[in-house]
Amino acid sequence: MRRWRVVTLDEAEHRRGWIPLRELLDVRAFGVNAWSVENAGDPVIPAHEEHSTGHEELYVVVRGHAQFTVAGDEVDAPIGTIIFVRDPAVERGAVATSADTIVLSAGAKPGAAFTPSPWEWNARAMQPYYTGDYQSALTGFEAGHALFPDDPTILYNMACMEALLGRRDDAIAHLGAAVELGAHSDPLADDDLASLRDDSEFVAIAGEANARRQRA
Amino acid sequence: MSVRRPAYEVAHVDELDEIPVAHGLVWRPVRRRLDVRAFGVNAYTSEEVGGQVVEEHTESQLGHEEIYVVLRGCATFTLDDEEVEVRGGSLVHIPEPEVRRVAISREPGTTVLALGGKPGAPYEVSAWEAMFLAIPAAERGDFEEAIRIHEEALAERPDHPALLYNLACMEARAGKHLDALLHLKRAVDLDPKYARFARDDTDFASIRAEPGFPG
Repeated sequence: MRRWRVVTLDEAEHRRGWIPLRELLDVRAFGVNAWSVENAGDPVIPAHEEHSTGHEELYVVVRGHAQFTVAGDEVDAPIGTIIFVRDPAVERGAVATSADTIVLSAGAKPGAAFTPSPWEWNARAMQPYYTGDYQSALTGFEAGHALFPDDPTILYNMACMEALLGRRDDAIAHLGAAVELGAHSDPLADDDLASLRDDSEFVAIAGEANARRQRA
Repeated sequence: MSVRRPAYEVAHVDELDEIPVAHGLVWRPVRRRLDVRAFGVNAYTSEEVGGQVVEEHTESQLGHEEIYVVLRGCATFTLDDEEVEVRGGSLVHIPEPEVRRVAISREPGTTVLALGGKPGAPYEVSAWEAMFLAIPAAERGDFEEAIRIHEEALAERPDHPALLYNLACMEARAGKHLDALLHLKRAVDLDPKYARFARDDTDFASIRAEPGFPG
């Protein structure tokens, strides 16, 4: 077993700004990642909440300067700022306000042993998608689905990849399952699903998805 | 009655409390300030070159894996017998609790953020936080404050032998001999090694001759 390891954030593997520290270091006790952007104005922490994981999250500005939006409040965050989001339901995100900004994030659920969340499988599988390699992305999402069969985001992304690959029946089946499990994206607005827009089954599923979104 | 904390809180590492511990190490309690409950997180600074920014220790007792992020400056980490220089923007991951670790500041104002937790187990607040927090009070002779800090920690961890032992130390020095004996006995009942520690501990000089002092 490796007893210790030193990582320089500039030299660590970057995946479109995401430095997957937990995965790279195989951290088992808590979630930990870093986020790096080159330009002021770039989103450094995508807007999200942690409702599905129940995680507390802590963000530390390691380099540069960021503007956080937390629960609708604007928070100026120069280097050394620590933002702790206790409530998983609160939406949070950040935009770099100076070039070369890095934010470290750590998270876990109080009172529970940490387990890596399906978010990681989604984020990893998205990497080949960005370069148009939809088959590799689908393989990644399928691996995530095997571990987290009830995760709606993984199912939704599988449907997107299958639609892009022309696998209509699989896409419809997985999109339907994703909506049943609470996927909150709007299928009608998703260009990855454009090939299905005239499909009556797709229209019915998309209608159900949007009806659920409005009820929520 | 517990106070409901806000949905989020903001702090800056330079605005956190500064608790001098030893060997130049200044503890800046992040977890305690923000009441983080899912993992351990703290910052350490040393204004002087050569001061510690990670105290020498292992995590054998807690079983924690740790990450130390150098936020500012530069530190030399000694990990078992190996030395490594770690600059701002780099981090050290130590999954193995048995590794002996210590870090020394190589630039003024070096700041290290530490994250920790035990794989496979829910996080529990570590007892050392109360012990560190009580050091300044004990050093200025304010044993009542040191006792209060330990009692607050024991409210969450009533059977923690090290906290009970340290509480007994503070009580003995405050002249609360009966309380000291009771808490020392409880610590020894929970972990007999504390009887051996107590035999040579100068904090107990005032009660060593009392009946009931662990032999």
